[in-house]
Amino acid sequence: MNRPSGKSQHAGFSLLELMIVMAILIALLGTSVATFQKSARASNVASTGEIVVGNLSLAQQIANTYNRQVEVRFYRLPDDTGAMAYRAFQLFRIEPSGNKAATKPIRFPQGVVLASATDKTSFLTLTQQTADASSPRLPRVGTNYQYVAFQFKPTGETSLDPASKWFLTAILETDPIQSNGLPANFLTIQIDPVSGKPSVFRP
Amino acid sequence: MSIHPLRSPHPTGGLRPRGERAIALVTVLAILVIISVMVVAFMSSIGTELSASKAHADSNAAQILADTAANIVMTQIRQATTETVDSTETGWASQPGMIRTYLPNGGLSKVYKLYSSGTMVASSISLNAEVTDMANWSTQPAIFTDLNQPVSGSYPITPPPDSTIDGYSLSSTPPGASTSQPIPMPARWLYILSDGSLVSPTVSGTGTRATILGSSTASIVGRIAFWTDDESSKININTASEGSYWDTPHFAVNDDVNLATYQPVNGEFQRYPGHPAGVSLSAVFPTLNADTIYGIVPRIQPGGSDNGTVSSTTAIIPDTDRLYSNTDELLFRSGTDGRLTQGFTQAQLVQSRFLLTARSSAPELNLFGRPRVSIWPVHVDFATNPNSPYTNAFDRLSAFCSTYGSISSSRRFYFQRQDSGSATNDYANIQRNRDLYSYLQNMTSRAVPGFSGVSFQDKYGSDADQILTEIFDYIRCTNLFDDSLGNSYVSGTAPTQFYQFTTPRKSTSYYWPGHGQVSPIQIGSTQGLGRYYTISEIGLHIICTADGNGLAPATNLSAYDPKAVSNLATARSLTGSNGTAVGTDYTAATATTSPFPYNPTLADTYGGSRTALNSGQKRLQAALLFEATSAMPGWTGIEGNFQISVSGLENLKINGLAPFPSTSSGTQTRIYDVYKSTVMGGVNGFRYTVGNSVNGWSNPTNTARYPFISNPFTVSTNTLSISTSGTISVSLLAVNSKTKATEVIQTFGVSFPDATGTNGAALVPTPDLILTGVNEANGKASNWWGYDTRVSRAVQNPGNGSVQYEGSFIRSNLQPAPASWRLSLTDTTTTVDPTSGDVLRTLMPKAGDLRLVAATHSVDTATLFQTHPAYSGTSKLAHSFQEAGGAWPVVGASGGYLVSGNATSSSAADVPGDVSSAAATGDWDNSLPGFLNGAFANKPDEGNNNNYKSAAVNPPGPSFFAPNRIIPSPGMFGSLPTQVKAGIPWQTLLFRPQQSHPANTKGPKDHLIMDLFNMPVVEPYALSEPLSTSGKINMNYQIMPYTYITRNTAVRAALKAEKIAAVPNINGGIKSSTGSFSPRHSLNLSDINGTLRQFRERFEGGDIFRSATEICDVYLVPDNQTWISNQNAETYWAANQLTGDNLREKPYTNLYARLTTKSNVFQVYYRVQTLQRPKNGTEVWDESMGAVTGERRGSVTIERYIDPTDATLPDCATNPTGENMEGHYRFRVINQTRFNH
Repeated sequence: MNRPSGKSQHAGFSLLELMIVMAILIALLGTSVATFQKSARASNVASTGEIVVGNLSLAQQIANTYNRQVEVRFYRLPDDTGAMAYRAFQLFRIEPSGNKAATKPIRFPQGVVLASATDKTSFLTLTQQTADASSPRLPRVGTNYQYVAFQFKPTGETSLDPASKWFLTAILETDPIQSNGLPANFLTIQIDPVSGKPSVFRP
Repeated sequence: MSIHPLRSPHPTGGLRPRGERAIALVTVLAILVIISVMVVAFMSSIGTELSASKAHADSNAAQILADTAANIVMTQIRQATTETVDSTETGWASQPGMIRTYLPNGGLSKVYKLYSSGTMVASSISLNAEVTDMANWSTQPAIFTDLNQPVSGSYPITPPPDSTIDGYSLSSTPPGASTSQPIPMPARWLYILSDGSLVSPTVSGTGTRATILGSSTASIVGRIAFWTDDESSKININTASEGSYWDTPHFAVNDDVNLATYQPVNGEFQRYPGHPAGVSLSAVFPTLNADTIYGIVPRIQPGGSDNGTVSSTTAIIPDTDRLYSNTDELLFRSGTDGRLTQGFTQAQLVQSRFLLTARSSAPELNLFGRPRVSIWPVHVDFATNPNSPYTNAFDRLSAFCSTYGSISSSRRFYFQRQDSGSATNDYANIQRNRDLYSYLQNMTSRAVPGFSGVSFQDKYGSDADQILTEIFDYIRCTNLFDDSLGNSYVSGTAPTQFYQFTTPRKSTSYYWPGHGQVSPIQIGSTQGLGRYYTISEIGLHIICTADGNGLAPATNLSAYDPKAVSNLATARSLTGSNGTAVGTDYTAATATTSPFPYNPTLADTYGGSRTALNSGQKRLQAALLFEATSAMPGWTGIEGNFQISVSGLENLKINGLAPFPSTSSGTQTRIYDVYKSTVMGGVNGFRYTVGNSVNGWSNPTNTARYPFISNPFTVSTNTLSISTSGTISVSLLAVNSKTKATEVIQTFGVSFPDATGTNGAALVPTPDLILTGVNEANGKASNWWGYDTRVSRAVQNPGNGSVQYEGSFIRSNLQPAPASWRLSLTDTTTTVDPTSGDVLRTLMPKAGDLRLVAATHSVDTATLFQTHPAYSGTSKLAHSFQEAGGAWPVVGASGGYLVSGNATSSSAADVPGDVSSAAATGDWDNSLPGFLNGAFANKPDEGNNNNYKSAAVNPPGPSFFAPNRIIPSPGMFGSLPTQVKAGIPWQTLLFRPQQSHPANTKGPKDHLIMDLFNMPVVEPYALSEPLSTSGKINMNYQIMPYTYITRNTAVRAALKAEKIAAVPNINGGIKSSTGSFSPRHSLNLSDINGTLRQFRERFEGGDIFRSATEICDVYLVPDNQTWISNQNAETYWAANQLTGDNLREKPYTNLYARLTTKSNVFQVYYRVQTLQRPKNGTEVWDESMGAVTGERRGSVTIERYIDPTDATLPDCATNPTGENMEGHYRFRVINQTRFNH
C-alpha cells in the first residue's frame, strides 16, 4: 500500500461520534419540525386563501372563455374520523349536455375547513345539496358528501344575491375558538356578487 | 504516489478525506431535494394561474374569432355594395341574412350571404335548398351549430314567437325543432386553420366529423358560425311612436271635415304623413295605448289634435328625453330616477328584442349608388349667408342633411330658388340647379339596375327631360308661403321685398297679388307646371246687340220690349203700356230729362253714326273670353298677378267680315277677383280674366276696358260662318311681384276651326237678342244689349245656371218669359233656355287635360286644344266655362265627366264630354272639398282650416308649419304629366299598381323616378343626416336562410296607421255634400288576403323588393276587402273609379317615406369556438376527439356610414359618370353584446 502513514486516524467518525451527532440532529429536527409543523399548519390557512382566490379567478375566466356558467361547489366531506366539514371545492362548467368538471376536486390543505357558522361563512346559507348516485364521485368518499354551490356567469358576475354579502372563512379545524367565535388564525374571503372580485381579510 | 494534476491539493497537502467527500454528496443531494421540492411546490402553486392564463389566452382567441365573424360580414357587405360587372355598377338590396345585387339589364347578379355558409357568394338562391341544407343540423354538430340555442330558457337571438304580436310567427316547423328548442337558427361552422384560412368543411360519417378539404397542412384552431340581421327590418324605438292618420282633406264628408278641423299641429309628428313617428309600436306592444307609447319614446308627446279629436292651435314642444342606446333601456324611464317605465314588463321586452332596434339607418343613395336629391327647396341666399332671413331652421337643417363635402366645397344636393316671378332665373342663374338637373338627366339616361334594362330616356324620349323639369318646378313650388319667416303680413302697399318665396299676405284672409304664384320654369324646350293660372278654355262669344225685327216704335210700347227698343238709332222718350215713362235708368223720373237712349252698337265703330236695322237683320258683337285655371289648386292660395295679351284678332272672320278692329288687340291688365272667384286655384272662371274692367266696347283709348271685343256688325242669316285667315296670338304675362316687370310665360297660337258649312264644318247659329233680363240695379238701358254693361258688371254675382244675376256675362233667354223683362232676384220660376240667346264656341285642352297646356311654353291650340264637343252642333252655347272652383255652372255650360257614363257631381269636371282617357288611366286628381276634380298636379298642402262646412281662408300659421307634413316624399310627383311632348292626355307618373295603365307597357316603372329623390326628415331632430335617414323600415322582411320564421311586424307597424281612400262609383255626392259616407279605409295587413299578400308571394317566388319604390306595385287592401289576387284589386278599383290619382297614390307617398330596401346597420350574431385537437392529421375534426377550449356567443352591431366631410367624396352632380359613393363607406361597431346566461 502506498497510503500515507497515519491516515488511519482520519478514516471516519466513531460510532459514538456519529450517534452523538445524530442525536443532536434528531433533537434539533424534533424541535424544528414541531415549530415547522406549527407554522405550516398556520400557513395552510393562507394557502387555502390563495387556492380559493386563484380558482375563483379561474372560474371567472373559464366562464368567459367558454361562454358558460361555471359552478363553484364547496364540498362537505368527512375526515378520517367521519367528522363532516367543508374541506374541498371544485369547479364545473355548465354545458347544455350537463355539468362538466373544469377542475379536479381541490381539497383544502390539511386541517383547514370552512367555519361552519353562517355569520362566518355566508355561503352556507345557500341551499345545501346532498350528493346522490348521479353526482360526481369524489376520491375516498364517493358520494358521501353534501355541497353548496354558486355560479359565475360569462360576464364575470355571480349568481349570488347582489343585496347580500358573500364570504367564507377558512380556519384550522383543531384550533381553539376565541371569544369572537373564531380561532386566532383565520382567513376570510369576501366575494363581490356583481363583479365576482374576491377580497381577502386576515387578522 | 502520484498527484492527479487536476485535483486541488488538500489544504493540508493531501486529498480530501473520504468522509468529507460523502458530505459533499449528501449536500448536493439535499440541495437537489430541496430544489425539487421547491419546483414541485412552485409548479403546484402556479397550476391554477397557469390554467387561468391558458383560459385567458383562449378567451382572447375566441374574441378574435368573434371579430373575424364581424369582419367577414363587413367584407361581404362591402363587396356587395361596391360590385361592378363589366365596369358597370350593380344595384343592391338587403334583407336579414343577405344582400342581393342586380345588373343593369334587370337580372340578378349575385347573392352575398351574411351568414356562414359553404358558399358565401352565389349567383342564385334557392329557398328550399337553404332549408334542406340545414335539415339535419341537430345531428351534425361538426357541421352546424344553433346560433339561437337557448341557455336556461334564454335565447340569444329570439324566443319563440308570441301569438299576441302581429306578424311574428313560424310559418312552418323549423328543421330540427324540439320542445326545448322550438326556434333553432342553425348555421354552418366555418373552420379556421392556423394559417388563417377559413374553410367550410364537408360532412363525413354521421356529421360528428368534419373534413377539411384542400389538404391544408395547417391545423384547426377554431370555428365560427354567424348570421346577420338587418336592423332596418326592426322598429326603431328612437324614431317610431304610434301613428295617427292624417291627410289633406279632399271630400265633403264627415271624415274629411274632421281632418280639416283637427289638423296636426307642429310637433305632432305622429300625425305627419310619412313621418317615421307614424310607425306604430303598438304592433309590438298591443296592450299599450298611444299615450303610454308617447310617454315611452323620446321626443314624441301626446297633445295637439290628440290623434285627431281636438282642434288645437298650440304647437307641441317635444320632450328632451335622450335617445335609447339599446332596446334594453326601454325598461327604464329617462331621467334621474331611472325607474321602470309604466305598463311595461321585462317579459314583453324579451319577446320584442327581435322586433325592435335602437339604431337603424338607410342610405339616401339612389339605385346607382349616388346621392338622392332633396325635394325640399332652400333659398339661394343660404348658400352665402348661413343665417339667411329667407330660411328658417327647418330649411337650414334640411340643407345640411342634403349636403356633403367640406365647407369650402359643399356638394349641395337640393334645389335652390330665388325668384318666383321669373320663368328662367332659378335655372339660368343658379349653377348648382343646372348641375343637379344635368345629374338627373344622366341618371334618367341609364338603365336602372334590377329593372327592365331600359332607361327613362328610352321610355319617354323628349318627355324624360320634360318630367325632370316638372319635378324641379314642383319642388320649386313647394312651401310658397312660410309664415315662420319675417313679415308674413304686410298692410298698406304691396311689398316689393319679402322673405317668403311669393308675396306675403295683407291679412289672414287677403293676399297681395302674386301670393302663391310662381312662374313656370323654362329649361330648354321644356317647361314646368309652375303655380300659375293658365288658360283652360278660349271662347268666341257672339251676342246680338240689336234685332231689326220690328222697328223702334215712335210712341207707346205695348210692353217694355227691349227687342223692339234695341233697334233705336236715336234717343227718344218712351212710355210703357201702363203709361209709365221709361228713361235711361228705366225710371219714369228721368224719362223727360234723360230720354231712352239710342243703341250705340248700331254704329260700326265706337261713337260712329248709327243706322237702324232692317227687318231680318241682327246686329252682333263678338268677344274673346278666357277661362283661367291653375293646375295646382290648394293652399296656400294664389292671388293671380298676370296679364293676357292678344294680337291678330283681326284675322278672325265671321260671315266673311273681320269684326275685330286692330284696337281689340292689346293687353288685359285688369284681371281681378270677381264674385265667386277663388283664392284656392283650380278653375277660377272666365269672369276672373274679365276682372274689374270698366267697360267693354268703348273708347279704345280707355285703358280700363276689356280689349278683346269686336265692333258691331250686321248679319241677316240664321247661321254664321267662322274662319281664320291668320294666327291669333295670345300671350300670358306674369307680373314679377318684386320688380313689377312682366314676362311672357306662355304663348298660344289660337285657331278656331272653320265653321263654314263646307267640308263638314257646320255653321254656327246666330245669337238671339236677350229678351229677358237680369237684375241690374244700376244698369243703363243703352248698354243692355252690348258688352259694356256685361263687362262692367262682371265682378258681380252672376247667379247660377238657372237664375241669372247682374254679373251674368253669358246669357240666355228665360223660359217661360218673366212678367217683367227685368228679372226679380226672387224669381225662381224661370229657367234659362240655352236654345235662345248668346252664342259661344270654345276651345278646350285636349281631352280636358290642362296639365299638358300648363307645361307647354308655346301652345298651339291645333294640337293641344280641341273644340268643345258641341262646337259643330246646333246649340247656341257650346262651352264648358265654369265659375270659380267649378261649384257654380255657367249658363249653358256642358261639362264632362271623368268617369265615362257616370253623371254624378263627383265625376263632373271641366272637360269636354266624357273623357274615356281619364277614366282609363285614372290619372286625374281629387280637388279640395266642394270643388271640381280634374287635371291637377297635387299641390303640396301648406295647410288651411278650410273645410266644406266652413270655408274660412285662414292660414294655419307657424304652429302648423312642418316640412314633412307638407311634402312627405317624392311620391307627391305622381300627378305630373308624362306625355306633354307626346301630347297624350291623362297620363301622369304612375306611383300605384294598375295593370292596364299605359305606363306599364315599357320599362322602367315610373315609380323608380322616386328613387332619385328624398325628403330629409328634420323633426323632431335630424332623423336624416347627410346621405342617410334613421328609422326607415326594410320592405324585405324575409329572413334568409330561416324562411320558416315570418317577421313582418315592422312593415305592419309602418302600414298600421295608414289609410287608403276609395270612392265607389255610386257615391256621387261626395264632392259637394256632407255625409256620413266614409271614403277612407284602414288597411287589411294580412299576408293571405291583405296588403302583405304580394310581399309573401314575391318572397316565396325567390325575389325581394329591389327598390322601396316598389311599394307602388303593391295593392293596398282596404280593411273591408279580402283580395287573394291582383284581379280582385282591379275589380275593386273598377268599382271605385271616383277616386282620384292623388288620393290613390297618397298612401304610397307616405309609405315610401318610411320604407327602404337598403340598410346601413346590421347585427351579426355569432358563435365561435377555439378548438384543440389531437394530432392525428390536419384534415379532420372529430367532435368526440377534439376539445373546445373556448367559446363566445354574442352579437356585434355594425354600421356602414360615410363621413360627410370626407374630402375624397366625389361630386356626383358635376361628374355623374365618375365613381359613385359606395366605395366611400366605412364601418363602425356601434354595439357589442355577449350572450351570457
